[in-house]
Amino acid sequence: MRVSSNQFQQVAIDSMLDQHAKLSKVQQQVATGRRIVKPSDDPVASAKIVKMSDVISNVEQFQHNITTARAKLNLEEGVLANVIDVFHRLRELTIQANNDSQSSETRGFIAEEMGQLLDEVVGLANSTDSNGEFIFAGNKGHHKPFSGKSEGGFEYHGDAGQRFIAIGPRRQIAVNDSGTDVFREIRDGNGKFNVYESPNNLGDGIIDPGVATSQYAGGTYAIVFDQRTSIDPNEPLTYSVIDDKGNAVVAPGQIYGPDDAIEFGGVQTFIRGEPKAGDYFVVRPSFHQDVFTSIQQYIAELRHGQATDAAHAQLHNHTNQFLNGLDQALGRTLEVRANIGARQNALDSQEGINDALRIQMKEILSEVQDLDYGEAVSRLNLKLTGLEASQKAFTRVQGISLFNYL
Amino acid sequence: MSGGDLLGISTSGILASQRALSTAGHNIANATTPGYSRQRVDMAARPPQMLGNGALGTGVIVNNVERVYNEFLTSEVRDTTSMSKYLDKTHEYTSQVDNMLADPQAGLAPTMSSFFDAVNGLANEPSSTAAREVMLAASHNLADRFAYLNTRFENLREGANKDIRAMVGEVNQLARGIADINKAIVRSQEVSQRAPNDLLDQRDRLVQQLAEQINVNVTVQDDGRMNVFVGNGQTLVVGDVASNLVVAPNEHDASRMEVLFAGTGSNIVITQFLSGGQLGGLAKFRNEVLDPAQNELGRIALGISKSFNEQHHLGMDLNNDLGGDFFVPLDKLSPEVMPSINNKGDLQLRAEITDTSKLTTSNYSLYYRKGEYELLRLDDSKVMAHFKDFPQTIETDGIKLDILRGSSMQEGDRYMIQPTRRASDLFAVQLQSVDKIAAASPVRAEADIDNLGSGKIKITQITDTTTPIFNMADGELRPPYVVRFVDDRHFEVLDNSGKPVKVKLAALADDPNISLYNDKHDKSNPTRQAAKSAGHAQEEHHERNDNNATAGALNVVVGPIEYDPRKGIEVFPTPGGMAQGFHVRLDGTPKAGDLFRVEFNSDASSDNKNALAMADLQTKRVLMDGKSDYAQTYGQLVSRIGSKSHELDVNSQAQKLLLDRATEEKESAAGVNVDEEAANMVRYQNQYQANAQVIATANRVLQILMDTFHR
Repeated sequence: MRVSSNQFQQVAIDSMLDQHAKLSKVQQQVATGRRIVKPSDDPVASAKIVKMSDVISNVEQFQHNITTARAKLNLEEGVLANVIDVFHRLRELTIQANNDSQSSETRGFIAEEMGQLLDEVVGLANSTDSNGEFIFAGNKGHHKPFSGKSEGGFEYHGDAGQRFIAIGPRRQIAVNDSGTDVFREIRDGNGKFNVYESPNNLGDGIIDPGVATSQYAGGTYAIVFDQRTSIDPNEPLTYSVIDDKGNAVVAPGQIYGPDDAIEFGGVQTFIRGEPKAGDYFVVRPSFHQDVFTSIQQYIAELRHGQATDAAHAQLHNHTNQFLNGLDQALGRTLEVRANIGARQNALDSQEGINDALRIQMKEILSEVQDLDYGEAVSRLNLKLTGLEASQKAFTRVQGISLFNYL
Repeated sequence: MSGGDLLGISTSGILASQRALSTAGHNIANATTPGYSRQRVDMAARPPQMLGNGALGTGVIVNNVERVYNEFLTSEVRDTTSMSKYLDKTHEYTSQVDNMLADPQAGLAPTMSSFFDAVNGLANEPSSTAAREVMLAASHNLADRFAYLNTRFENLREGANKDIRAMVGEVNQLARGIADINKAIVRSQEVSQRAPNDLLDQRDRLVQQLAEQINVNVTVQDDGRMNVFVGNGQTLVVGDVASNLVVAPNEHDASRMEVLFAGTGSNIVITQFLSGGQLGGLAKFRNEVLDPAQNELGRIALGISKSFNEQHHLGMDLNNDLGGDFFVPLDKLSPEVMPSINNKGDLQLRAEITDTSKLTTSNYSLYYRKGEYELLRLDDSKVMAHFKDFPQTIETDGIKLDILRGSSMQEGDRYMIQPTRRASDLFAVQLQSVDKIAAASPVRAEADIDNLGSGKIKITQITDTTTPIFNMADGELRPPYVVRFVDDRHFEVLDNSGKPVKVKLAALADDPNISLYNDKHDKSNPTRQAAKSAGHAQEEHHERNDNNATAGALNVVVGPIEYDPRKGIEVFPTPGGMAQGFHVRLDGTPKAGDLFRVEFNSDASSDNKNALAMADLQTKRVLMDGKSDYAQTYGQLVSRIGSKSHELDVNSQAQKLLLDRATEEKESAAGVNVDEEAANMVRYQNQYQANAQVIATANRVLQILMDTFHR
């Protein structure tokens, strides 16, 4: 076939241009480290890359969220550890104060220290994080949650809200506990019911906090010591139990003994000391009372001083109640702390899952997107050889002309 | 035998070989001239002299200098060139879009990811001003990126417009050139009766150049004039006369340049008929790549702004206000109605986007013909609606068209509707200050602190904040609710808008001043007395088990409803069907008298429920009829443009091969091979020398004769 000289040159040039283009493509791939430099290189994979990059960025965000959640939980845990220490110290002091060897004066000293501890624990409950957010205020993070009322007791300005942080595609974890959860929803008494004596009692009967059986359905009762029917000093002391509608649960005439259990409607307790006829004791369901108010009330009681035996009995009764309440509070704090530990574990395990997912996605992404350098470099060499060959061929062919021989 | 004859014969040989040599020289001189066809001399023996003893040769004659030319091969090269340029141009423009969309720095995907990272940051620290600032900044970045991509699209459109102008100018010049050469060819043929080879080559070259710009059809008349047709058969060149193409704005869209044929009467738009050459490539790029891509990007912008706004509306900001628009709402702004400049009618059209998940990337045309209006989807030419009466409301493909009036109209009136094109340009952040970011849930559900049971209440979802209950004049829901258990298994829902219900405990046992007896020795019903004498205001007193206490004074909205502690219940919407716009669940074991309040979540600066829901949108399938999330939709755009670009790349390479092949064949026939010409030169030089020898011989013969007579 005839080949025109023009075409002859053009073919050689075209071939070189072509080799150049291919070389530049490989060079671009090697320089960027990506197999797919633009979507048209592999349109289907490109769509995948967009989605996968999004998933990876999402997972990385989850990992970041986990770090944030962990910081928050660590902070809360640290605060709760301090709270627990304070509660333990309060418990020791309470037991000390209950000792009959204490005088009103020494109780005053104890009350002083307990007052400091109360300030400390309220301060802890009003802790803020690095953003100045109150950690126990629920969702009202800019309201200082606990403040004392002028008439005594504490007020809560937060709410019961709990904040969640997303740590996985379908996994959210709570990063706070509200003041209500930790400090306010403390059942007084033994957790089911609370017992207390009438302030007008003449005797010094001390009622045990008691035990609730499963039959206790939340009723309110009064244990009333019956009026004497005679002046016989040996007439046994009797009692009756009535509910809040005035119905007798235990009929009058039940003989009282200091070691005899008093049992009715799921309530088990006993009364020590020397109750007198006409004294009464009330059993009512446990209410929520914030632990600070309980502490404050007990301190007031200690400061008040006890002049009479009855007042001493009252103090013992209140100490029993208070210890109960404090144990409830301590139990709740430990519970919340354990819960935080569980959440921290969940964070760790989710972090592992996320990491595995991230690595897996990155691997797939890398397979789809990244360049096999070995293959690319050998391709680069091949293209270089091709280009060199074209150039050599061009220069060789270039010189040939019949005119050289004429 | 005559020596004179011999001289004549060899002279003719010398002349012929001279002619042949100069033709070879001409070929060599033009070896690299584009479009040049090699020429060769057509030699023939001269007519013989008839003598008695036979026909005596009289030498050689050059009949013609022909160009080696094959009409088929030439048109083959022309057509493949036209197609090749067409694909190249489309590919050149498309690959710009291609590069831009998936660029790790400049594409939309990374900005979208970092926007959602910022939303997550807000969910982590809803009360942090820094986190809010970051999110607002990230949303501005997102808007900037949409604007940037749109600007790039607009630049490409502008670039295409400029190219079209330049190319049309060149087409017109080439057309005039062809007409001029037509004239020259006819004249030269009249004079010489021979084909003017070099003029023909030149004309072929001009037509070839024309084909690079636009697809052409060519016919050659008997007299040698060439007629050139473009578009849909419009005659660009007839004989000596060239017509003009002009560039003018589209009848609907002034930013879109169209190619028109300037005929004798009116100008005819021929853009849609351009199927070859660079002009055709630009038209193809505009129709098949740029418009759909820009529409698609707009659709994503619409989807994001709408779905994000909808979620934002369900939240509450730091000022205790319901969430407003986070992004500028585009429903009414985005759709563009563009009447044709040729319209006579007075139709008033309003377009609005009603459902972003149903949107297509097509444009629509409203067309008046045969007495009625017809709505046409331009991508697949599907008739979506037709009507005659006014006013008219059409809802289709997620768009609502309100057509108000149309008293005067004429056949052919038309309106172009572009629902999504402008959206990415208009995409912007509406929200001004960070305290207006609605990260919190507007509703709070809480158990009363004095509850005896262990019932837990929680908001599971906010679905609608436009219900009357959210019409808050005094910073509270209208009305707030309280759920009250009348016994352990039944509750009622009360309107809590009066005096707030407060549980009073039965015996007020924590009151240290409690006295069981008014008179210490009164034996009658001591506990009842205890309740009565409790120092606090009697009227507020609510005995837990008494249904008719204070709470009873409030309006019962629903109830009593049975409650099963093993299953829990959805309190709102209530089984009675009250749809307040939120879902509230109650679980656990409440006791009689327990209260649960559902109220406005005021001052909840640390609440992040709505921020979590907004962050969730990243992976929620809210676009394309619920089939795709944001990233997937964008991925589809990337992949679609990528495939298009890839397809064009492959096609243009294939076309290049065809062109190479055709060029090779044409060159093989018509191109100059310098070696061949060199050989020819040797041959004709030899011929010349031989003829010269013959003359010398003739001369010697004559000399001998002369000498003979001299002696």
